[in-house]
Amino acid sequence: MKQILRVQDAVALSGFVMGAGALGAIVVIYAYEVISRYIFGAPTLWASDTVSFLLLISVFATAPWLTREGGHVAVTIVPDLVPSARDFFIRAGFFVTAVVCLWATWICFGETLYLFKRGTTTLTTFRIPKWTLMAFITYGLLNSGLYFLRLAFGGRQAETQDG
Amino acid sequence: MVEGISAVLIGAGLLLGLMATGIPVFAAFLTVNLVAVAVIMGPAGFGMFANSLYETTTTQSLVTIPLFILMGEILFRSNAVEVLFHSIDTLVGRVRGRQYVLSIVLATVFSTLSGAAMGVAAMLGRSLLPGMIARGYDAKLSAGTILAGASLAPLIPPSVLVIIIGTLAGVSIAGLLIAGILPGLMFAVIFLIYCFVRIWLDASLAPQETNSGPGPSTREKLLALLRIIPFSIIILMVMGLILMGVATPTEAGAMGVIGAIITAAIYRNLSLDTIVGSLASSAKVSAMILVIMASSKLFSQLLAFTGGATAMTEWVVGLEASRWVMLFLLMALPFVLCMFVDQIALMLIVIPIYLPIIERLQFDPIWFWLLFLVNITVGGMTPPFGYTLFALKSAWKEATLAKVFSAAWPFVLLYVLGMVVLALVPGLTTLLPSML
Repeated sequence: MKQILRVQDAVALSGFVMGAGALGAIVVIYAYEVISRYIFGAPTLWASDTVSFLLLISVFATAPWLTREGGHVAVTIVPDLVPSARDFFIRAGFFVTAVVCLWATWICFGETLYLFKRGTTTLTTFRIPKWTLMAFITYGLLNSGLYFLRLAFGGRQAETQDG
Repeated sequence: MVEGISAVLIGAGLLLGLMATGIPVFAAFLTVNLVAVAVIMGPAGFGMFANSLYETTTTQSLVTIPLFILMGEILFRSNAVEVLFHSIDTLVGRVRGRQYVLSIVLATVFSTLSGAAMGVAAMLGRSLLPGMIARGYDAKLSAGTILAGASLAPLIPPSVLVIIIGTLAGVSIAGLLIAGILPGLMFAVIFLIYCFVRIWLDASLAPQETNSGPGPSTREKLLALLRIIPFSIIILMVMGLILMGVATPTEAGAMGVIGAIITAAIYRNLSLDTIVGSLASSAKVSAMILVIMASSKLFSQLLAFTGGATAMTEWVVGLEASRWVMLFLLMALPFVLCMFVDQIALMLIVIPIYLPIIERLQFDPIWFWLLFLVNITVGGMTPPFGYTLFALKSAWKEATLAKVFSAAWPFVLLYVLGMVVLALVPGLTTLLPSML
């Protein structure tokens, strides 16, 4: 089991590195676009669309690692009012979140397959298969859902970021 | 099928109830939206749900969010703010109550650079507050100035909350960003005046700093001014490019990041570790915000689908109350809710409901949404659940939470006073955007 969890961590970390890298790429692409447009008078056709795709990749590739680190914001009014049952409330919340994430994963997985079969492309200046982006959403939800299961049933005290 | 106003009330009630149980905010939205789609539309609506996630996270204007966060991260991790701290300290001079002035100016400047009220409150709570109290300054007034200054973060550009409001409400983001400048400065001046009046009424609040030696010379002040000039690169890159029409707010955000890197390099504090750490931290914070936004997108679509938004608008307009009463009611609701609910979550619930209402009431969108932004901002420092209060409390160990609360209240009232001024003098918010 530990082996599987280590693989999950490695996958999540790789996704996180990709997400941070995508953010760096957004900066470079937009800086290039502004300079290219106003100094060289040659605006690109691909910059804004690429940046949109990179934002999606950054968000959903990073999400599982964020979940692993307990980085999602929560309003813990009820758990704080009942300190003796605080851990129960937090863990129950994680379990519900896991179920909802996995439900959303199932929906997005179906949508990814549908887009793949239909060969749907993005409605952008330059087009890419839309399923490639939907796959990132599916991955982000799936791995986050699995991490929420770990948080719900894990050994150490469960916690989220008090928003 | 649940429809009309009951759909709005049930939806919003379920969301708030779920959030209160401690479930992550994005999961509360996901739960309500998925259950609602399943009940109202059945599996046929699931494609709409998947598409709402896709549409939100590929929205151009939202790219600005990670960029603004990254800009602040680079500046803070490179310790460039240390230079600001010392320079502003020198520039404030030897005015009576100088620590209050220093606190307000530092909190305002830092929150402008970081855009995060909680971070600034915690940082100044650790670095500045102990010194103020040790010098004999009033602890509550000192803490209040930090809370108030830090809470200006969402108001003065670059502001992440402005991007969210602008995107959700369909208002010019550039206009809304610029609109925050004058009100932000006005609030800082109001806080300064309040402190001076308090000192004038009770001199013991600000002890004479007899052991601090002579004040800084003109040369020292000039040097301090020179040292902070590199920060103008960032202001030029962000607000300058937007005002000149050279770049969109999103592109200006990217140029602001370049400006922050240049500034950190000028101060010889730039390293690969700084950039990597900033990217990693920004990716996480922006993922946290955008996952919430993506999860909530369907909520507004469901409000429209069930006729909830229209019914709510008809009901509110049917009240036939005066515009001022309507404005008061529209502001009172988020003011109260913000004491209990996360700012972003609240905006995602309230804005889709308000949008058709303010269109029917024909409020100027920049003016109204800026007032709304101030309102949301105050929520962060309003007892009992303002997050900025807890951030300061975590840094100010020896204070009770009750003491932090009582430190905040006068400044909450000053914010309300400022909102009344902004409501009565719309030019303060609309003047700069009208020049765009």
